[in-house]
Amino acid sequence: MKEIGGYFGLEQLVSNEYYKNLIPLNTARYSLLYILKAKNIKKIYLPTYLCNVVRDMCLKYSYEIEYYCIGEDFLPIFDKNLAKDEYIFIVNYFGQITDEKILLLRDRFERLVLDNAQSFFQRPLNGVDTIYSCRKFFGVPEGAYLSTVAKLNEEIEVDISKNRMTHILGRFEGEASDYFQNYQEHKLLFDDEPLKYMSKLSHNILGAIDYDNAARIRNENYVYLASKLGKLNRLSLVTPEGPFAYPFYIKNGIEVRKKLAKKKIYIPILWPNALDETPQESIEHDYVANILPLPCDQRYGIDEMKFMVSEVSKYTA
Amino acid sequence: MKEIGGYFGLEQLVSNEYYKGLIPLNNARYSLLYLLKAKNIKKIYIPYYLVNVVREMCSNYDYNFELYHIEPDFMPVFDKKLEKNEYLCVVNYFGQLTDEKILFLKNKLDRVILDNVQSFFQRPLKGIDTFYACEKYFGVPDGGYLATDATLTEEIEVDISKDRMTHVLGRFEDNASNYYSIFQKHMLLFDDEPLKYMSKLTHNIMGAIDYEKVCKTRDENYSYLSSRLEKTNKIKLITPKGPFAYPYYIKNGVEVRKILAQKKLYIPTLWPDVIKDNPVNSIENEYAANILPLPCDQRYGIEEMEFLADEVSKFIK
Repeated sequence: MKEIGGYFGLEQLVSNEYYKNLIPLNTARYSLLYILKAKNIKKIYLPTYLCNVVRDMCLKYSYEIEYYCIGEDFLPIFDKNLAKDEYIFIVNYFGQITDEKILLLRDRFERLVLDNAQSFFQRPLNGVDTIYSCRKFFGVPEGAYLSTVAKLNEEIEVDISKNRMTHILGRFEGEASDYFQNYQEHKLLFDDEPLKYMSKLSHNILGAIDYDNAARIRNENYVYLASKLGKLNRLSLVTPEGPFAYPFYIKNGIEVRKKLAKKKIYIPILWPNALDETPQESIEHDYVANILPLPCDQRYGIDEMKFMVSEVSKYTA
Repeated sequence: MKEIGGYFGLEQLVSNEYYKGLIPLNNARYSLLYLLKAKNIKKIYIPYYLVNVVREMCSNYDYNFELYHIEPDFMPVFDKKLEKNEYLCVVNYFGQLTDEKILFLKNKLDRVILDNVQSFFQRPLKGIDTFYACEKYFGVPDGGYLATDATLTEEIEVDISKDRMTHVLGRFEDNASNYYSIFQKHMLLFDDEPLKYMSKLTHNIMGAIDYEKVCKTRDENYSYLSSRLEKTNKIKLITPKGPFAYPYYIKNGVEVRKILAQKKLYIPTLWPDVIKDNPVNSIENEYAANILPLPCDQRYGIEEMEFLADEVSKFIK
């Protein structure tokens, strides 16, 4: 029998997760690992335009990898034939790959894994293994969902998040900058973690989010940014449901980020490693350096979007 | 302009608190302080049968107080006349004071303050200043609500809870005993806190609780305990809505608690100082020592209640 009585642990909140029937895991990268294992994949094709943690994970677990490039429309440039135990990992950059395109890719490749870490609200399609990341969209320390029919026959532990909450709580009630170092330390800890199920704590938080509201605010902010910056944007974009960010292409993106940071507008580089690893004149290098993923998430309203537009516009000569 | 971008703080959850129109404060004792100040009270009558922190708070803030006794049915023994600046603080022990009894006291004494710390779901009655505590009922680190028409015209800070979450998160994903000393430390910290508004973090959690479900679970658990133990219970009880605990009177309560604790059944003493400060033959001493507030809260189901009733029954002669 468990302990009865005494002080309360965190309250069990309302339980209404967005993805109820997917496999809840600890992080996006380990969702890929789940598929690699469950489907007995030997080799995975990865885009060069990608966060290094995915590649590092594949190498750590001794999977063969090969890189491919993308076109300006974010779609893979790939004309190889996939062998039976080979898969292609396709990233849905900024949710710009529509369901129609995904279905075409599925018909063409058959063996693909879709990374929807940047498109949380785009529901999985039949026959497409799809990965979602929670902390890229919501205030949780980690967590991911995996849509697949494959089953991994291996014991998996449940993750524990309680010791990764300092920066999350800190930013909620304090200043982000006071907890940034904490955040970075926590991120590094994942490199040593194995594949686990999503923690009880992440489940608890994810069950109590008003998803309609979050998606609505993201839509409104994105539409506002598109209306102000669309004409100046070299990228022609679709409007995804509940977007991750508004990707604005600008010359000298690295410099512009530094100047924006002085105004407390923090635009991440997705991803710094890709900047070092791709040739200067490649699309990948260009996109990493010069696409500003402008935040449009549920923490902000039109006031913040206005301010951001006015600051970004200063650099659109 | 606030910081834009970067990692997320804790997600803003669905926002549906049980008490929306009341004054949200940092805890129950400071709700009383709010009233003492706002109503310009000169003297407060408080029961002997009460946690000592209330008395200490009154002393610290230089309010004149006098102690009174209670009847076996938890009603005040009080036949003094209250002067204009004098109030009687009535404690609703285990929610055993019905609305009728509360109204009777109001009509008789007029200047009544109701402590509903042990009766969260009993809504405030018109014209009766009533306060509630959150952490006695739910998994939050602090928080209270106050129903009153009085307004305090002094600046009040908003509380910050982020550094009081360790034991709350710890017990949620781990066990209680590993975090008990941290819990105690956090409780002591309140002694040095001033009156504040409820923290953003506590608001966030309190807004995302399924109150109907909590209430239903408490009702079911209480009914079960009542069905098992009512016949041997020396105190006659009503069934409050969403009860705090099932108060079971047993001889040698202090000893019984120790033996139950060995089975990981942690029954608190409400309150240790009452036993120390009151004569052995007083009702206050007897109640504090021998009433076991058996947990019946939303963390538990009938299985735990069964175990609890079985173990307690072993001590019934």
